[in-house]
Amino acid sequence: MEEGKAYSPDGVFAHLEMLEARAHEAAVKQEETEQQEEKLARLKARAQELRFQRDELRAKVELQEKGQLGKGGVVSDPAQPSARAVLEWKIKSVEATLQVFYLTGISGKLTKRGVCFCISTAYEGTYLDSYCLDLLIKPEVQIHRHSVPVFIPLEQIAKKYLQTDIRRFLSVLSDHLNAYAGRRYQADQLQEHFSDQIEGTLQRNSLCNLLVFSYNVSSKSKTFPFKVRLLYGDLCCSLPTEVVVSCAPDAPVSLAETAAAHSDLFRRVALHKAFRSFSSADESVDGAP
Amino acid sequence: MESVDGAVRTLPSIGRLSRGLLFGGVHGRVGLSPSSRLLPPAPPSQENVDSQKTTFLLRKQWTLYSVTPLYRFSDTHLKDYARLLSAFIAAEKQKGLAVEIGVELGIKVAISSLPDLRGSDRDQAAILVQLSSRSPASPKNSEEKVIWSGWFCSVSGDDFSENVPEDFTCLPLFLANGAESYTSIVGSWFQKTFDCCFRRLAISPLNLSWMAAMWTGCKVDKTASAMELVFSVPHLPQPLDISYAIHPEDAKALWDTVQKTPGEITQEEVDVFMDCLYSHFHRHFKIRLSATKLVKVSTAIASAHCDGIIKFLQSQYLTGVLMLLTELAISQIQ
Amino acid sequence: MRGFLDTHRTGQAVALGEDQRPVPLRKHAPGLGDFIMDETVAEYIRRTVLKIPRDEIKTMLQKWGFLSEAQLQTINFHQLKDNISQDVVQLCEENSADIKQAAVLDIIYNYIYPNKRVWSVYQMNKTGEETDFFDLTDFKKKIKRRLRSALKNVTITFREYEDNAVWIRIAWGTPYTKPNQYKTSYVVYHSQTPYVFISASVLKSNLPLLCQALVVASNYHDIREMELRSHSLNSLKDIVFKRYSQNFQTYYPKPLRERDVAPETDLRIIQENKNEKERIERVNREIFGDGPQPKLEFAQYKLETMFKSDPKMDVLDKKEPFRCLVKFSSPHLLESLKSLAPAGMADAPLSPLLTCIPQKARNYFKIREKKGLFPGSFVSP
Repeated sequence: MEEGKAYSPDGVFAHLEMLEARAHEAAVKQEETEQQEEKLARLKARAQELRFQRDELRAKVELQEKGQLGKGGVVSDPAQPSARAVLEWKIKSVEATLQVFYLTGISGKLTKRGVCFCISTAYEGTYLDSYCLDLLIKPEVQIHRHSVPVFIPLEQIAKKYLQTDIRRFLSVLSDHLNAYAGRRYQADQLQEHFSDQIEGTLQRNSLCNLLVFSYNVSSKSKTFPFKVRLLYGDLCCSLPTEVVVSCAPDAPVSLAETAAAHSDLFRRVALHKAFRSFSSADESVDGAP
Repeated sequence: MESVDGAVRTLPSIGRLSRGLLFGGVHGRVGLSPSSRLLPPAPPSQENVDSQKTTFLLRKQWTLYSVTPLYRFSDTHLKDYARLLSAFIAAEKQKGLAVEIGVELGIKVAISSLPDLRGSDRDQAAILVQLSSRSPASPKNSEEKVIWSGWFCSVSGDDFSENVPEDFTCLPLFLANGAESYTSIVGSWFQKTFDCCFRRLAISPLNLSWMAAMWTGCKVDKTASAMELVFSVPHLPQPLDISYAIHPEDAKALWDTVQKTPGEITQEEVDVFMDCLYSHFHRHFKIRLSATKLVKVSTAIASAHCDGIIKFLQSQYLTGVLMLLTELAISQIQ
Repeated sequence: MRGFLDTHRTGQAVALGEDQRPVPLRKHAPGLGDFIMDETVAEYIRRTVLKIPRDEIKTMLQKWGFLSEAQLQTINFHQLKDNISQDVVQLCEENSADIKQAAVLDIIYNYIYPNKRVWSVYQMNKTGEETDFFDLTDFKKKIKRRLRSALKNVTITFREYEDNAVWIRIAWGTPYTKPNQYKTSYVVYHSQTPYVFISASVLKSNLPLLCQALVVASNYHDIREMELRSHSLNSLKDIVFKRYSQNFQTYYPKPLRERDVAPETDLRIIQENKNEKERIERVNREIFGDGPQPKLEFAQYKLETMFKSDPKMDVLDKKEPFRCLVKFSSPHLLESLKSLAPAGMADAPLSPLLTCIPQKARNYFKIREKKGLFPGSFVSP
């Protein structure tokens, strides 16, 4: 924005300093991106390797089980040591699974009586809270304790998948948690950065699946309040399924179009990003500094 | 010094002298964790405890002191003593030493004898000191209100009194209820006048467990309150108090199976009783109460705090409790 | 984790009720009622101000937002509290405050000093699985409708806070009497959770009605008391919301923190002792975790279990349960329980009866002998 201005000598230095800082920032960012890419590639390779290992182990286990059934058929070893070996393989396989999960934001550790999983959440590259689950394996899989927020429908998810498919259970739970963290993050961002545009309070609930607020839209140097009601019908999703943007009946017709445009934006883009785009649009329209 | 051979009337076969009514005397050295005490008999017939005259002692918190024998004290001069004490209090007030006496119009002192409160004829009759005042707000004819009371007594402390020189009167136990400032004024007057010495009488956990066991064994009516033991756990970053209350019937049932020695209670029985309660507790909570400090015992008979505070709850057991306290006071003096 | 507590929103407060108009003044002095603040409101504001520590009065009034900054400037906050309260009342009279505003001030006070009350946790249940879009406006409306239809005279005040908690203050009346502002119930509810924190008023008779209103308004089916009580509202929240340190063993075990243990003075401690000490520390950490414990002041156990004695001792062999009531009290119960085993006062691990308190989210228990196979274990219904 300073580009168009005339510089005083001090201003030049300040400007240079700023440019330098920017260049440095960019360099740091690039380095970070590179590192991340490198890491990603490494992890992908590792995942591949583990998958391979897992398949191999699975094959072995299957073989073993067949052998057990057939009693001395395929397996040449006597039955006793093989049972132990099977157990070891199983443990290894579980450990491998755990490591694979770690790459997806779910990590686990074997405990005395089961597994302790930790689900880390993130939204658009920002790490958010982590939640833990302590599972007991015997006699059946059950949740011993956990730190999942009470309003996440953990019990329902567990009822559906816990006994039959732990992976599915974890991935569904992770989806719920990530979506919740994402919704909350958006609402927080909105409150943090755009409170001057929001009229009154942003009303939300614990799950952040209903957001109600008003914000001011200026048109021809007058401001009009837009009322918004965002409903997030899919708890595994951090974008709303139902958006209502309404303006006062006395507002100019052009605003109705704006409301429709905003409504569309809310459906597709993260809340704070939508607001960011409004403000930049405002600037371009009003020519504000 | 003495291996007391006090006996209980209901146990004449033991052939001891008739003395205390309850809780008996001590076998072994007084105060140094006696190895046994005589068994509390059934509640005595009220022949020398007129419950009417002692009910005012019940359900009040009394702070315990031990007092060395009083020199040249005579219970024929109680009125004179009251006058002198009254003057002394007025003088102290003038000096401004007395705290919180404030606006009261003058304090009336009454000293009287409570002949009912003793174990036997050989005990000195208890002496009651009462301070009363008229409330400053109301006129003279309004009733006087007792603002402080204290009493000296000796129940079955005769073995001790027999061994002091003639000019001395043995009332080893002093109990006070009311503002501490009055206790200290009254105490210092007695100290000056009779050359005696007051000391706070704390009750050790060992003696508290004796009380717990002995009082549990006493018969009271069915609606009796629970036997409650309060423990405090020392040296923790956050203090912890544990209250362990046992249904009185169940506590008595346990005690009755523990108490086996005829006619007396032994230290071993008290230990077994407490150990049983501790292990029942440990079985549930894995906490070792034996490592904590027993600070308070409450039963239907009385409640006692280790800081030396007692509350009497049953008049028929009053002398019995006082006998034990007299014994503790004597052991502190010695 | 409790950061939200300090940054509460300048809450939007809603107070309702026809009953809150200065009814008696209307009756007795028609025409004056609209201009003069109800005496009871004035007295209520005065008493509320007196409860606040003097150096906090100003900030609390600012949070209240009923008096303008210019009005607040006129108050001398260094004088006696009694005089401050008179000044505040006078300004409130200028602004013609009614019980709605007075109730909001009371909520603000209670929000900042929740520990002055005893809180009980209630749990609600629902049968369906439908996703709930908790709408605060709707919630408030339902609560109001329910309570008002039963009692007519009732002051209901809401205030929302940053952590999605809504505070509800209820002053109870009857169809024929005005609400008693000094015997209020407080409810703290976090939307879409099954837990409600209630600090009931002495007027217990209205509790069922309140519970019913909560169930209806929050789309649940029934409600029950959890036997979990404390002065510390935050600790109760930590316990039921599982925010306390649970010490999960995550994938990368954190390196054990060097603990600031004073150097062992007794050099003669033998290895065995040291091992035992380490074992106790480890077991303790497994159970209690490294973090601070939620704050509870007491726990109570009613024991109706068999008395089992050493057969050698030959005492009390009864078939009936041995009836006891055990109460633990401490300014910080769980911390003191945690320190028992290391101090040598208890076994490690400590009894599950004690360590289950945060897990089971209750501090009142009735313990009976477990029927069946395990004679050494207990059960609490």
